[in-house]
Amino acid sequence: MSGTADLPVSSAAPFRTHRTSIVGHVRLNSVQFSSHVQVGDNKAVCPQSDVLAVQREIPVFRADEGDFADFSIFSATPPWTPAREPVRVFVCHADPAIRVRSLDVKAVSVSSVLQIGANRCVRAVNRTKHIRMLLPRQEDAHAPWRKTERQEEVTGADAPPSVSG
Amino acid sequence: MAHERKAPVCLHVVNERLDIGHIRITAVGSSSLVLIGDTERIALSSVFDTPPESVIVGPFIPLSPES
Repeated sequence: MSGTADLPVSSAAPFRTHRTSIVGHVRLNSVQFSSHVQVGDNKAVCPQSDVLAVQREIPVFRADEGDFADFSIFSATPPWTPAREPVRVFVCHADPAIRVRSLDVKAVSVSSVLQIGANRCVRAVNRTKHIRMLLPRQEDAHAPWRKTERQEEVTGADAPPSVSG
Repeated sequence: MAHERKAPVCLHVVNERLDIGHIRITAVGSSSLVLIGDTERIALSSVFDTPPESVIVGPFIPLSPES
């Protein structure tokens, strides 16, 4: 489809107050974690995702690990703005179409939405809890910040002889 | 309680010609939206929790399984 094609306004369109979107070329690499890609109109998109992101120094995981009930973040309700606001909006579409020649997206992730078309409501929720587990070192088990100093010392000792003299 | 009749805020929007060449996006993440079109209401929420306590130094203890 040509990006600058003239498109008639259809009276049968589900949203008469919305414009027609014309996109010539779309290139999309990855869609993941409760994300949506929609071409066309819809009424509402409501993606939701709860993520427990555990990173371990040695990646050993059990299949049944993790309970959302153990973390308060997953029971918290996000602070929504009021559904109706006392604003009267009058929209005039002087041009009935939005034209985009090409769209290149590498990734759509974690409760995100990519839509070519009109909708009435988008309501996305994501809750992410990060946990990082590191193995203790003998000398700095209680002072993890020493790790960087030690690393610097090692780098100095391992320097090539031509640099050290 | 007396009812106060406030005049509502009126917003007039005129959408003129919109013709875009190329859109290049690296990533859309954490409750984000890319919309080529019209909408009426957008509510995007992302809660992210990474406190200092989330770094655990010690032997790996598996998380309790889902009940």
